[in-house]
Amino acid sequence: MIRLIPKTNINFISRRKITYILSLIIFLASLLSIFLLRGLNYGVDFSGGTVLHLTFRAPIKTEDLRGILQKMGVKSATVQKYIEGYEFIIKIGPADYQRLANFSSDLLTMIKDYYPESEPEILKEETVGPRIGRELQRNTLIALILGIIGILIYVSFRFDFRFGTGAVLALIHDAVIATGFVSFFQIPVNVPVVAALLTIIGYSVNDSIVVSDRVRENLRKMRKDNFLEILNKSINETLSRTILTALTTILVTVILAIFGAAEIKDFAKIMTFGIIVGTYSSIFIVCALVFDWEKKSSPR
Amino acid sequence: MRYGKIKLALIIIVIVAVLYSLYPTYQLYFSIPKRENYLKNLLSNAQTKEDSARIQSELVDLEGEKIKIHKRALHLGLDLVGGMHLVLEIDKSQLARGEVKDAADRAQEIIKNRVDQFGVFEPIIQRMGEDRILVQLPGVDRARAKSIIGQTALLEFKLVAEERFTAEVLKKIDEYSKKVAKDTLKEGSFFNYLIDVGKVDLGVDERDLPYVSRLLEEVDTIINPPSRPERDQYEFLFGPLENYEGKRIRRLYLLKKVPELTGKGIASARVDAYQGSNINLANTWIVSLKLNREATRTFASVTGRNVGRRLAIVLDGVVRSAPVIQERIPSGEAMITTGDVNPERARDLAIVIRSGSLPAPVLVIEERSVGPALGLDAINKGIKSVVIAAILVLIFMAFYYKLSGLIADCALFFNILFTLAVLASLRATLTLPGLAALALTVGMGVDANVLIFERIREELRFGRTVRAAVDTGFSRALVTIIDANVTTVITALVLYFFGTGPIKGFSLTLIFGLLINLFTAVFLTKFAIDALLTKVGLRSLPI
Repeated sequence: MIRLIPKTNINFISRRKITYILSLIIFLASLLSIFLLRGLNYGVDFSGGTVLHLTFRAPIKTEDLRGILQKMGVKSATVQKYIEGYEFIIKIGPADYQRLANFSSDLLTMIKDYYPESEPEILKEETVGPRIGRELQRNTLIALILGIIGILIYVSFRFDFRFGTGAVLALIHDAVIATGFVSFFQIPVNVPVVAALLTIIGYSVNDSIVVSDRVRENLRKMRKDNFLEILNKSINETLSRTILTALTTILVTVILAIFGAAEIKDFAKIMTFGIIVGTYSSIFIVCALVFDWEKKSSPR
Repeated sequence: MRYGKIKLALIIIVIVAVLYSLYPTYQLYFSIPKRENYLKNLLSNAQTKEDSARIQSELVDLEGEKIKIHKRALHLGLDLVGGMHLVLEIDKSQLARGEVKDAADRAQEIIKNRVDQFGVFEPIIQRMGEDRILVQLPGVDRARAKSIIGQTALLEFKLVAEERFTAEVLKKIDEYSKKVAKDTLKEGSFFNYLIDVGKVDLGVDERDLPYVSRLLEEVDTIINPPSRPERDQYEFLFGPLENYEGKRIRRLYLLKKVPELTGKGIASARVDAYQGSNINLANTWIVSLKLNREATRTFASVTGRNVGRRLAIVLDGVVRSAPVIQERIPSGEAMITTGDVNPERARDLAIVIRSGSLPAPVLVIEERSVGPALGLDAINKGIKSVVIAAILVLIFMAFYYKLSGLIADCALFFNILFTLAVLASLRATLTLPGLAALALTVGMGVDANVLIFERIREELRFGRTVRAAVDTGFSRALVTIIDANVTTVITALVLYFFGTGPIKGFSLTLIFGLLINLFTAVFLTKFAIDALLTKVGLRSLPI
C-alpha cells in the first residue's frame, strides 16, 4: 500500500487564528481588487461589442495594429497578443461597433493595405449587442444567487444548520477569492469564467461535505463532550482523501490550462486556483467556524 | 453476492447499449472519413473511365450514408467545427405592439425557407422569446451566412442623378476633403480616390473604401442642404465588387434617395442567361424579374417620364446595375445582372427575392463566427488535453491503488463513453466547454473512487476482513459521494437554465457525467471487486 499522506494528527482547530487572519487578508484584498483597484474586465459576453481573433502569415507589431485602429477612429479598442506577432485578439466596445458596421472587413482591408505580406485572416469573430450583454449580466447574477441558494437549501436539509452555514461561509470565501484572482489578473469575464466560478462553488461545498459527513459519523461514535477532538480527528481522517482528490483534479485542470484552447485556458486557470482555495478552506476554515459557533452558542 | 446474475445482466445490457449508440459516432468521425480518403486516393489513380465512374458512385453513396448517420451521431458544436451563430431580433420600432409576434413568425419562416434552399447541413433555427430568432449554421462562413440571413431583400429602383449635378457635388466634396477633413483621407484630395470606369461611371479601389465611405458619411449636409425637400435628396451608393483593368473596384453612384419603385411589386424572380448586347456581360447570369400589375403601371410611367436617364436597380443598398432608360417599358420586366459566369449567385439572389423580404428589418444582436481552422485547432487541443489529463490520472490511480485502481480506471473510461453515448442519443452537441466538463467528470469520478478506496484502507487498518472492509467502504462512501455529486449537479442545473449556447453544453455534459459517475464509480467498481473476491477467490485485495 502506497501512502502519499501519512496518518496525521494535526490540531487544525487550535491554530485557526493564523488561518482566519490569512483568509481575512486575502478575502479583503480580493474585495478591494474587485470593487476598488482593478475591477472586473468584462468580456464581450457581458459588455457587448466585438471581438476579433486575427492571425497573420508574416509578423505584425502590436503598436502598428493599434495605430491602424486609431486611424479607423476606433477609440475603445484593446489589443491583446495571443501569439507574439502572429495572433491577436482585438476587442472594441459597443459604441464603436455600432458606428462601424463593416468593422472587421474594413480592418482587414486596412491591414492588407499597410502590410500586404501579412495576409490577415479572421479565425473567430464575436459580436454581442449591448442589450444582450446586460441581459446576460442579469441572468448570470440570478444564476449565481440561485446556485448558492440551492446549495444552501440542500446542505441545510442534509446537515444541521451549523455545518450548512460553515459550508456556505467557506463557499463565499472561495468564490470571492477566486473572483479576486480573476480581477487581479484581469482575465476577461465571459460566460466560461462564470461557469468556472460556479463549478468552484460546487467543488468547495463538495469538500466541506466530505469533512462534515465524517464529523457526523464520528459524533455518533465518540463521546460528544470533546467537540474539538472530534473535529480534528475528522479533518485528519479525511485529509489524505481531500489532498489526493485535489491533486488529481488539479492535474486535470493544469493540463487543460497548458494544452487547452484559448477559452478553456482561462477556465482551467481559475479552476486550478479555485480548487486550491477550496481545499484550503475545507481543511482550515469550515470546521474552525463550526467550532467557534458551537463555543459561542453553548458556553461551558 | 446478492442478485449477482441480475447485476451482471444489467451491466452487459448497459455496455451493449452504450456501444450501440456510439457506433454511428464512430462511423461518422472515424470509419467513413477513412473510407472516403481511401476512395479519393483511388479515384486520383484510377486508370479507366469505368473505374473512376464506379468509385465516383461509391463516393456518392458514402455521402448519402453520412447524411443518414449524422442524425444518430454525436454532434460537434460550432466552436469545434466552425460555423456561424446568430441571434436576430425583430426591429420593433416600425411595428405596432400586436404585430411583433406575427412579424417574428414570418421572419422565422422566411429564414428557414432560405436556409433550406441554400442547402445548409443541419441548421438550427429557433425562436427565443417573442421577438428573437436563433440561427446556427455549421460549416458556413460569415459572408455566406450574412448573405443568407442578413439580406433583407430590399429591392429598389432609384433614379441616378444627372451628370452635371453629380459633377457639382463631387467638386464640393473635393473642396471639403482638402480643407476640413484632412485627416479622413490618407492623401489630400477626394479626386485622387476616384477612378474612371468605362465612359460614364466612377469607381473606388477596394483598398480605399474605408476612407471614402467615412468621408461620404461626413459630407451628407453638402450633398443635401437642409432646405432641400426629402423628395429631392440624394445619396451615394456603391456597386458590387468587380475587377476593372486589373484593379478590384466598386462603382460609385449618386442616386435619388426616394425610390421610384420597390420590391413589393415583384411577381416572380428567376435565373436566366444574359442575352443583351453588353459584351462584358456575355455568358453571365441574371435574375429576371416580373412585376405585378400595379407595379407594371408605375414602372411604365417612370420609364416614360425619364427616357435618357439612368435607373439604378438597388438590392439591399448595393447598386446591381444602372441601365439607361431607352424607352417607356410597359411590359413590367426588369433584370438584375450579376456579372458571374457561375449561376450560383444569381440563383441565391432569386431565392432571396422570391421568398420575399423580411416583414420587418432584423437586427443582429449577437453574432459568433468560428473559422474552420480555429475549430480544428480547438478540437485538436481540446481532445489532446482531455486525453493527456485522463491518461495521467489513470496511471496515477493504477499506480497508487494497484488492482483496485485498475478497476476504477476501467470504470472511469466507461464513464466517458457512457456520457458521450447519452449526449449522442439526446442529440445534444459536444462543445469546447463540454470537453472541459468531460475532464471535470473524470476528476469527480476519481474523487469518488479515492473516497471509497481510502475508506476501505481505513477499515482494513482497523483489522476488518477484506469483505467487510469493502462493504463498509462502499456503503459509507456512497452517502458522501451522492451529497457531493448533488451539490455539483445543482450548480450545473442552474447553469443549464440560465446559460447560453456552449455553457448549456458544459452543464449538460457535467450533469450526465456525474449521474453516470454514480453508476460507474460505485456500482460497476463494486461489482468487479465483489466478483474478484467471490468468484476468482482473491484472498486479499491489492489496494
